[in-house]
Amino acid sequence: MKTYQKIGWICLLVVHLGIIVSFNLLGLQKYNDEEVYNQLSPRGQKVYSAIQPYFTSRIPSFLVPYAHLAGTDTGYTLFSPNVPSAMSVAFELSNPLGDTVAVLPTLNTREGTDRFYVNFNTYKSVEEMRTLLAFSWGVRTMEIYPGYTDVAVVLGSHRKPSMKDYRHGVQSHFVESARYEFTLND
Amino acid sequence: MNKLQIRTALDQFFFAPVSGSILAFFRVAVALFCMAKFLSFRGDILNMFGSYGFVRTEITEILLSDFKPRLSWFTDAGATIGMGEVAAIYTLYVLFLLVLVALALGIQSRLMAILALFLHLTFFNSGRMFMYGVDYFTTSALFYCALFPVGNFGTLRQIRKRGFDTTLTMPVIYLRTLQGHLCLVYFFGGIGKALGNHWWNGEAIWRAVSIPGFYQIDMSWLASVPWLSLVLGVGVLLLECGYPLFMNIRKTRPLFLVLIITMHAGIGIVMGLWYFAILMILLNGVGYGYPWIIQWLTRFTSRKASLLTVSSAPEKSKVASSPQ
Repeated sequence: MKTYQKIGWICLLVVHLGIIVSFNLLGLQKYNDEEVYNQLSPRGQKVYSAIQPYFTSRIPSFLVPYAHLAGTDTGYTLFSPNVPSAMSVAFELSNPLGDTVAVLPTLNTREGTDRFYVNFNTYKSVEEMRTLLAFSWGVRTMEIYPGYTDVAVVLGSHRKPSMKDYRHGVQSHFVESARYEFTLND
Repeated sequence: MNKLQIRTALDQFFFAPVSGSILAFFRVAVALFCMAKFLSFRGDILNMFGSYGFVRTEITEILLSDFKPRLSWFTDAGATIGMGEVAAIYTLYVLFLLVLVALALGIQSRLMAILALFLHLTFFNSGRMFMYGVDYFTTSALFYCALFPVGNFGTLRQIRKRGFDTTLTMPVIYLRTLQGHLCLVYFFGGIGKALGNHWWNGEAIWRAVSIPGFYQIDMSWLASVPWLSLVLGVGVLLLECGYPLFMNIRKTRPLFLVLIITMHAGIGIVMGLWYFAILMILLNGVGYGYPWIIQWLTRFTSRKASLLTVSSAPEKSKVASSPQ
């Protein structure tokens, strides 16, 4: 490798890693939201408050396409600060005769079904899209189960008891958080 | 240390020669991984990417910036020549698999890596709501295939000409790039977790093993051994936060590498996230376990070469001893 190539590579390395750091610092900004902040431990809140002023608040727009291409336009904070209660969805289908059936998301492959649960990331983070997403899931489910004219998309989360509560007999339970109802027009 | 010594040390750190066979391994492994991943949801292509799938195209595209490649570019173009959406999506899907085969074989590697990256991003963006960490890391892996000279080593043409040559070298900076990326991944992952309290008291492990959708095996017995969840939770924090330090100390690297691989294998077994586990093991293996992979490749190819020599020896003697 020639010297100029070496210098070029080191510059690229610095910029590349710098972008990863920036996106992660940007991702940590979400801890500023009251809901997330309250999940931090008391020591975590102190540490976060001390370091938060140094975080990036925005990424220069010209770097975004590069980061997208490099797959680095994301933070790596899965399951943090805590492991959240898992969301779930069920569809209640009914027809004019009064027949009702409840089904879970139906995809054809195991991988596809697993990946359906990723939808909840967007559902949770983009409030404006919730009804649209529920509508889209509901319509697809009606296409898979023809003959039904109404669908209720029931969303909720599985509340898992702590280990201590579980030892005392408390079981996990489903808490409904939202219900969207759609009717097929003629 | 004087200037010259510093310069030499830096030069050695970033540009010391290592066997390029590791890039051949990386190229083949990434291409095969991508193929396996895309084949795993072949029955759900339209459910995930079709305009009438579980998430309608117009909803997905609300969140997409203009510059991001997407399937509708191709389906709209296909419509102008009378090609339906389903045919256009499946054509791209098959094309993507063919590009990955070519990449694995080392045929026009850089071009194929760029094409694979572009097609992967096209599917990734169009099925955005179904994509998670593994897909970001796959994009990064394909990006590195496009950036690094992966086509200079172990291509089909080279192997046919002179066998798999493990003596060809490359500067180690390509691996340093991957190492830097991995250090940041684990460090930020660890810091984010350490600020909460679930990872310090074992609740995180308890909750993670029973998420509906990722539920694989009954782990409810963990509740009666809470210390185990606590040890595992704190262990994950130590592994992730300590990754940049302990993976870069020669003496602790083998142990840390084994622990990281064990952690990912555990995620695969308990949560069923096999693709995520395999990709992370692959990236760690190439990034930090490369001396062992190179050693294995060298041993494997030399054994194969000696087997070929032995098996061809009787042929030669047969020719030599023939009456002609």
